Amino acid sequence: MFPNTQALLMVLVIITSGCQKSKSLTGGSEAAKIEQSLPLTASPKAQVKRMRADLLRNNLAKILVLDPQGMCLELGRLPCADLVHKVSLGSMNAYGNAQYRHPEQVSATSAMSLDRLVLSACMQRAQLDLVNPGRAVIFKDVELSTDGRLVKSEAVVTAIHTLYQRAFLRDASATELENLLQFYEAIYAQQSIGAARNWMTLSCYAVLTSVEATFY
Amino acid sequence: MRHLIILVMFLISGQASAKPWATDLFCKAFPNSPSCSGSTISCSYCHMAQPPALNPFGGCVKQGMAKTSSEFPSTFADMRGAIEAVGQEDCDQDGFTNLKEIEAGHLPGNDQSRPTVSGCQNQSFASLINGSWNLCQRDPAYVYKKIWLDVCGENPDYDDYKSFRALSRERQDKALDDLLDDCLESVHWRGKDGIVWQIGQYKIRPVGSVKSGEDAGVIPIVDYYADFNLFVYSQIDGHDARDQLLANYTVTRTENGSTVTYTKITPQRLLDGQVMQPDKRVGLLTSFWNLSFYLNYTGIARVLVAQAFNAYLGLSLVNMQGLTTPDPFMSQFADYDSKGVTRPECAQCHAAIDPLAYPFRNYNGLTGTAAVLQGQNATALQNLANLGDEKNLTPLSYSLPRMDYLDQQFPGIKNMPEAGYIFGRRVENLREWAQAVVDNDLFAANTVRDYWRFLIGHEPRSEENHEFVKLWTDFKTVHNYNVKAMLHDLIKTEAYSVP
Repeated sequence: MFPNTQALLMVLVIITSGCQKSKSLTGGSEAAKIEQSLPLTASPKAQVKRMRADLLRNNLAKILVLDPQGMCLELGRLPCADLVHKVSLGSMNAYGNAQYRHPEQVSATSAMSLDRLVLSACMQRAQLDLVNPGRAVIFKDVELSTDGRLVKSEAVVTAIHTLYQRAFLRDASATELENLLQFYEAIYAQQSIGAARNWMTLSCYAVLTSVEATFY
Repeated sequence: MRHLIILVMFLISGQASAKPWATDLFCKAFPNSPSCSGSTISCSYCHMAQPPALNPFGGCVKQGMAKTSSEFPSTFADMRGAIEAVGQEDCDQDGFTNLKEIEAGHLPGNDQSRPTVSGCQNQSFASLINGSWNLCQRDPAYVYKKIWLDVCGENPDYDDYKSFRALSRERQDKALDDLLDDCLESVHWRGKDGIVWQIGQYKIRPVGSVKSGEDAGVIPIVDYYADFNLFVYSQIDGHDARDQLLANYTVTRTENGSTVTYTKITPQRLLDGQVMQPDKRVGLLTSFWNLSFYLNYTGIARVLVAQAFNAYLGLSLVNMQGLTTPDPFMSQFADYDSKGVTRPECAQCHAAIDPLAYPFRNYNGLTGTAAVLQGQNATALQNLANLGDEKNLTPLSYSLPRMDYLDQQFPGIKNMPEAGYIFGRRVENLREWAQAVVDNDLFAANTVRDYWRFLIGHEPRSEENHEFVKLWTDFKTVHNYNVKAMLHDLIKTEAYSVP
């Protein structure tokens, strides 16, 4: 389990904050500034749908190449999306609860259930990529120093783009790239031990719990 | 008895408070209102949650009636006149006149129900590109991603997506149709607990604790997966969606990895899992599950009818939707099961509801056979010879002695006719009843609405209604009740394809 919940909260702060100065691998801070001066146009229709439990499960399994039934288990055996958090993630429980239609409202526990599912999946992916870099899916060729720090290299940038491509069918924007790179600094400042692994997990979590990942 | 019926109808035809036929009159008065096109209004149109209390619009209409007539309208012309008399008023004070809300398909008595307009109206397309999508224009790449997510159940691969974007517009359109065809074969769409299966949940309303066979519950009595199999079969591979209510056959499902196959089985009583005689089967209405759970030991199938109206027509009998009261003399409306339905306050609705249930007269639920309490595996149901023919009181079968048996409990119930009335039309038996259901516009509209809700994510809105109406109209005429063909048109609607 992720040891530092403070760092977890930092995710939202960093991702939603503006670009801060950093020594970027890409020289991205300037690009990010330019990009921010051209904000996205919001759709006047503004019609989006929530990803429900089965779609979240399938999507996470495909993006992160994980077993859909094993990527999140409560008490080590009860599947999160298929059973325990199924209704709070927007699906129905017809057989057990006589819920024959999808819930129209987001429940009080929906956000927590989403966090639980995605964090569990991202922890698995980060661990697998670290243990077997040759078969890594997201964090391929990302190097760690002997004391567990992230070695800044092009592989880190590639990993971020890979995550965005698999999740959103596009590269990360300059701002997004810059934010995730800075995010490592924040994590390291909070807790240097295991900072690289925590960055992998929480970068994945930040991207896959974003509005773009959970609505379509 | 006949005098009693006439007396009752005299009593209910006057100034009594509830007016179940008002919804019918309204839709005859305003047939082009979206509320009446592929739908019908409920009592909440004029009443508060608990009738007879009136909502603001109902109060206005009452005033309109006072201006035009001293009585509750008995013709659609009178109804129209009464409403038009207050048409330019805004009774719920939401900024839209009553007539404007009626024309837009919204509730003129509820200030939270207001006509909507497309956010893309009066927008300059050139300025609406957000880096990913072409806003307010049909965007094939957006549709590509949505078909993958909605129908295939997962994200597309990035490389495939890039290849798609590189295609010409014409080839993109072809690729989208091909993609939809491929995804309609996916387990996510057609497998057990897949999307089509999920759409069937509110129609079949399973109960996990009594499930027998696959995924058995704690009290394994009845297997309803056969109902899901038939429902899904009727919705895929270009099959006729009406078969869900007309089929005399059963369907089996085979899942092998990523392949899900549904196979139609030649009807063979008991051997195909259904106890009903094949020539008396009427799709899901007479399935083992439906009769055992929704008819059960009941004499008159009111609950089953209410469930069927909700499931296949999108109508709520509780809200008095879809009720047309036939001539009580012709329908032979009476209090056959001693429930007091001919009392004036009850007859207002039951004079319309009960004749809906008469065609189920000889369809037996669980009545009269103790063996059935032991479930599907009961000895009496294991041997075809034990079932006998329609002269036997056999559960879950077409059984002529059913009413004789029930007559011991409800004297006179055996006089209940088998002919009934639905939408004001006489039907001689349950097959004609089911045919009337699938022939009705509401069936086509409800089928399309099921997929609209799922794929677009909400009920059709004011600005989308023209596309919704065209879609269900085409489903009935152009697509010939083929859901697959309808879906190919649905993904081309503005509602689905414009980000």
